[in-house]
Amino acid sequence: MGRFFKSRFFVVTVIIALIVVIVPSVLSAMGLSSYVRGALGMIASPFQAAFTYVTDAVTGFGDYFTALEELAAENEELRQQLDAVNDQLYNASLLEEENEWMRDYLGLKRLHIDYQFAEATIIGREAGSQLTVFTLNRGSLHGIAVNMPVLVDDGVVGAVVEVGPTWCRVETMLETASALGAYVERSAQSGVVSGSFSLASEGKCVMEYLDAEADIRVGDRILTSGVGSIYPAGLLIGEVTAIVPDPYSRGLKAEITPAVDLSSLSRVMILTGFDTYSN
Amino acid sequence: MSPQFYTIIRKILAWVGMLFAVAILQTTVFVRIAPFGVVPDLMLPAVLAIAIFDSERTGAVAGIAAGVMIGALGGTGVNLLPLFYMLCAYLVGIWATIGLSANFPSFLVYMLSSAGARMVITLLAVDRIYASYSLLDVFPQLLFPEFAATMLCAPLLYLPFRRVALLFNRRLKLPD
Repeated sequence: MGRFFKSRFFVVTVIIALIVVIVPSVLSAMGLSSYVRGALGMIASPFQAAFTYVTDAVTGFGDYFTALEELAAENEELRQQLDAVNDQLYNASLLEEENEWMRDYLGLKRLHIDYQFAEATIIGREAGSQLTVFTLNRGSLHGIAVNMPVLVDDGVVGAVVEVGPTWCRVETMLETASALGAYVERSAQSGVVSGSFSLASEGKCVMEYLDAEADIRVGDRILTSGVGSIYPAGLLIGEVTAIVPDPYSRGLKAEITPAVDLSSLSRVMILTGFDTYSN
Repeated sequence: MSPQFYTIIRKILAWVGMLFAVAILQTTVFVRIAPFGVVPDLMLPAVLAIAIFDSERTGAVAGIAAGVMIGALGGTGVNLLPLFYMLCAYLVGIWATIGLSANFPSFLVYMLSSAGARMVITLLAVDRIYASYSLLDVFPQLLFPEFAATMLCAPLLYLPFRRVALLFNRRLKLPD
């Protein structure tokens, strides 16, 4: 074994290797470049350029698919972010809606301090296009009883006509069986507002029992009179949109467009208690 | 000129060409591929292959040439690789003569020990280049990946170099 390291070849080779290590290092430290290094670099540069070109082309081709995968992953990530943002927006809109609802509720409560409310959500509607009957998610277990008025901040919706343990049905003003005492805000002209089959499809109801000389005009606001003890007095029912003669009573009939947009309702307030003298 | 002389010349040209090709590959293709994020040392398995398929002397000369080539094409400043490659090739060539053989498992054993020693050279380079460094960073971020990448790529060179060696008289020594 020792002969390998004592041979002239090994010693000479080590010396050459040391020279090869030291000389370029010294030249490099002096800021010079060895001829060998320069020559090798010159010979190699075209090969390196060619290989680099090919490698770049190959890896560029691979990068294309890598980029596609990255784009797909990024797309998926962005889609998830979008879903999350949409969820947040949806939750925000729900909160905004609830906030607006609570503000309306507080407004009514401030206006009528004797009112006692039960908040309810519409969980069912009568099949068909006429918005005359709703089902709410509150029932006798929540203290709901028949003939309790149902309203929103904009005005009267209707009244509870049927109650289950956890649900109740509400007939709106558009229902032909309903009737509520009303008066014209401007002139105090009284009458009865009830549903009309022919007008219900248009989302309107009618004010009857107006004599031929009644002081009522298109645009007048109609309020509840409190007569009948279902509704407290002073709640807005709607606005007169037309006045027509009534051939049966020889008086007048007024078409009323309810103040409440019944088609867009989702939450209502059930008036569970109020002072009858309230106005 | 004897036929043996021409054979030696052809063999030198073949090995130099092979080393040159490997150096080009290392400084172009494998810079882009960079397995484990580092450039593998392809010259090391190349000179070891020459040493075990030819002789320790041919390997030693090839080691110096390989070190000069890789220093010229991809290195800067102090380049210890000619001496390192020369010593590795010489030792492995002797090892192949008196110990293990020149088959593939033996080649992997030579590579393991040489690539381990190569880590010292890299560490010296790091020490020369960086004023301050932590071994806890250098080992996992550079030395181990370089070791693994070199070991991963070394088998790629085994068959080509063996094929070239078979063109000449195997273990034909350079004249003293």
